Amino acid sequence: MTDTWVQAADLTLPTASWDELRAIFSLDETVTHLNTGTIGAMPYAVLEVNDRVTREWTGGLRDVYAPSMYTEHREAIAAAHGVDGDEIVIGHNATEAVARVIHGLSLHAGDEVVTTTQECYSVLSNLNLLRNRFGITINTLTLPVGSAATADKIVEMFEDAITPQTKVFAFAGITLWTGTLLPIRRLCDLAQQHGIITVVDGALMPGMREWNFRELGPDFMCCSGSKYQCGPLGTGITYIRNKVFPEHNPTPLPEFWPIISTWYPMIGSPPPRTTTNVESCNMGDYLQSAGSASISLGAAIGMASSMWDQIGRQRIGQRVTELGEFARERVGEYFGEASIFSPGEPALRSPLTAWAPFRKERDAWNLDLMNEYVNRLSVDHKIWVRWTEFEIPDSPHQHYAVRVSPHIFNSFDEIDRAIEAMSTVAGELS
Amino acid sequence: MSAVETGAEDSLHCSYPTRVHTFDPTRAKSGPERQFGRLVCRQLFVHRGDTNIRSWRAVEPVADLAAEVPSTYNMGLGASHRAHVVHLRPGVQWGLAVPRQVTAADVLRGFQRACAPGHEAPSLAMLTDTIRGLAEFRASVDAELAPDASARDFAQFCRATPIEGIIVLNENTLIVEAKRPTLEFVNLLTLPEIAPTPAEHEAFLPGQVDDLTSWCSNGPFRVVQHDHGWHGRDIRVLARNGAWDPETDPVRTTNARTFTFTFGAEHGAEARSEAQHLGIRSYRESHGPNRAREPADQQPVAWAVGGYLVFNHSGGRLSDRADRAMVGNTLAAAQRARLGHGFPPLSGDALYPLRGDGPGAEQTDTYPVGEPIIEAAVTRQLVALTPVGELAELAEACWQELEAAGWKVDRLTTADADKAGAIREWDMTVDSWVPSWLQHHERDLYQRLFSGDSPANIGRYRSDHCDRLIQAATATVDPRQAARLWSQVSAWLVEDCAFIPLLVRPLGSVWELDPAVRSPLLPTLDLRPDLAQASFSSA
Repeated sequence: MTDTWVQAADLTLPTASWDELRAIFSLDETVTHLNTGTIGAMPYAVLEVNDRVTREWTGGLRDVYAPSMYTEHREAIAAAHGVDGDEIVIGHNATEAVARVIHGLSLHAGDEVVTTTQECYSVLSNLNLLRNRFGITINTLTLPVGSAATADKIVEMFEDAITPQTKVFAFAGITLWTGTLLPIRRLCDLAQQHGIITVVDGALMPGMREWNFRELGPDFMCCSGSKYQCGPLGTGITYIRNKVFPEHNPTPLPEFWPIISTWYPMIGSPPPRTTTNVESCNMGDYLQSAGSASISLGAAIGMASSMWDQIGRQRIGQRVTELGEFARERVGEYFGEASIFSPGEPALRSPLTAWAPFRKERDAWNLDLMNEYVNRLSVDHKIWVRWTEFEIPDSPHQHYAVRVSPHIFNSFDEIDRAIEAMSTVAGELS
Repeated sequence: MSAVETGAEDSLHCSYPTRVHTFDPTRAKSGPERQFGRLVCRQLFVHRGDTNIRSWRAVEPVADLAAEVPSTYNMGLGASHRAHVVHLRPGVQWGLAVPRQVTAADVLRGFQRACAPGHEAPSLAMLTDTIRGLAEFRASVDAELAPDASARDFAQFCRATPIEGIIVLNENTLIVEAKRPTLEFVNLLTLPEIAPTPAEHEAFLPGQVDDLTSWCSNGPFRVVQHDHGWHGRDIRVLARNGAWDPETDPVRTTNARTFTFTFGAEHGAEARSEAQHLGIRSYRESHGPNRAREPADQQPVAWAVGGYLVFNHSGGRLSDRADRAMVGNTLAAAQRARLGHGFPPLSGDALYPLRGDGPGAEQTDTYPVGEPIIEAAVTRQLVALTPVGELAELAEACWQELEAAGWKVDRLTTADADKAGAIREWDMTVDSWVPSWLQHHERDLYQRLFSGDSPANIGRYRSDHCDRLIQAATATVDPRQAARLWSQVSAWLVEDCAFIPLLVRPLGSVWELDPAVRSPLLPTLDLRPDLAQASFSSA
């Protein structure tokens, strides 16, 4: 351990009540924060680490490069997600992770990527860059929403999109627009059957519940550290499959070029990628070593992850799921089940719920009204939510929805009050 | 003359040999007409002038009446790239007796008027192929209104008939939906034919305004005097528009006190000398070989088609491809003669920009040049429609080349044709094309001029194969694939002798500007000065 590592020694975390745990977060008590899908709230301890390590390393005479590899933090985060340290990189955000992964793949003119219209812009813009640069083809699927969204349907859409040229599936683990939890394992199975690489935008996933990245089966997982993991802004976590476990993903490791790397040799090549469950190189190090880095951000995301481990990721997942289900239930009561764009099928549900708050159908594509709604909730009621936008099959319109994304610092009572207030404001604006 | 002072040092007299096609700025066809229109008619988006014509500032459209160009960063454009949320810039007003805000309803009206019966916008094929619901609206116009429907009938129709893909959310916001993601979407919305229009203009159909002093301006100037009809001369005096607020306009100024526009002017050295003697600041255009405004060692910023031979494909004597090829071969063989007139040769290089010059563009054969004279052709008699204005000389050169090769060419001027109502009884004419924007503008050439449903397809060329290629090219957002497809469109048009390119030239119109006046240039107006940004220094 280096002195950048701050162990969360608070032994009360595993048994603390949810009310007690709320107190560990830096939150304005007058605000209802239901927007973790955009940015989570940092625990005070994470803030403290970030601040202290920044001060400790400012103007010092020590070697900053070794701790910039975040080795201990990566090991710990990897263990929390069922993978190894050589497969984890701490970066700046999911966007950067997506870019480094997509541009590190060996794609050529004519290769096809299957993706969806519900991806973050970071996925779609990077794919377009590849299209313009190399001439790849992008097949963008429009996912079903609400009761039409089923795992079978989504898998079928991806399967139908496969051609002999398909090289990559690029999809969100949980879409930020409707909170749809895609059938990751099934999509990875499908991809593996066809030798297709899987790039999962997992921005919302770490910290939401317990995940085992290896068992999910993707080749790459690009995550945020500042959403459900509640690390500082400007932190991200990337999983790069660096060994072959046939029971989870039997396909050979894809050709991958670790772009932006000071670890990559200046002459010669890294060893060939392994074909077994023993790594032949530390791919994580290749990507982690990218010039000077913020030692404090690494320590802070490490701290957040450690706290989650102590609270219990399974416990967190159960709580978040209950809060999300409660929010969804309340939305159904106040706004009607038909208003909900988030999937009805339980297997596709995440804690995020997105719905049309206004009575008139055409108001679902009225951005101004939606802006006013969200602003009024924020200013008049101190409820922080966001609106989202997405495409719906067979509709020419861009649809807008309001989205709540609760976390463990929320309570059932405040969600109840918030949804009621949201109903009132929607009625006033409808 | 006008009550306004038009001889002051900060006033500019602009004269053009070109006659106007229409008084209506929303139907402006030529560069001079658009140069004028820029002062009195604003669009949602517009191109800027810049002192460096290669600057991105001169290429990228910017928000004009719109508050911002819709993007993913201002929440105006979603991942589907189909719905464009447009917020109007606050404070822009129509220059009425009681000024009134430009509203989203005015924007919708502009789109509707692009489909006016008998007065369709030249760019309509591009617009209906892009804006969701516009094709259906146009079809409704055709179905429910007579070609000679009155302005009142059309206004009533518009009030009762929405365009599905243009959704007015409130006074200041609307959604413009594209049928599919379109690379040129914002550029398309710079076209003057869909300029927002006030309700006051419902009194006339597009192109039918006959006195521009009644034109409601939302630009920095308004027309205070309009004299026309005297041997094709058309004089317009512009004064500052009191309803215009510089805070609401990112691309225009009122540095000038007044403008006087004279179209159809004959300005020889004598007139120039008189103007200088009187201390009048002048801007003068003339015909002739275009003037290089860029260093000779640089690739032009863009190409224009200075002239192309248009065939009458709807029943004319050249509706057969073999006959058109004979004409093309004759003109190609006579290219040396054109060199003598100062025109560049019809070469493969000259055709290059017409083949979809972009990444991935495939090389295609050059224009099929064969033997110049075909025996069977010499007995043919052709009716040539000679355009008025700057293309007349080029057209006449072509007619003479054909006659020298044994063809018989009867000449008809466009003015004669209009009078005689004989517009269909012609075989060939000459037209030109200047790009409306600089990037991804192939559709502005090919779809505008050659798609079967385009009002600007004056020769009524129709080819299902060509239309399918155009559809495929406009449907892709992959620039390489688009370039390949446009290259195929070009190759097809050349192979089918759909037209004969006569003069392909770098951008650059011919003009002189008073040395005391400075102005950035507009690449989208054939490198004309942006008069809306003219600045004046003391003599």
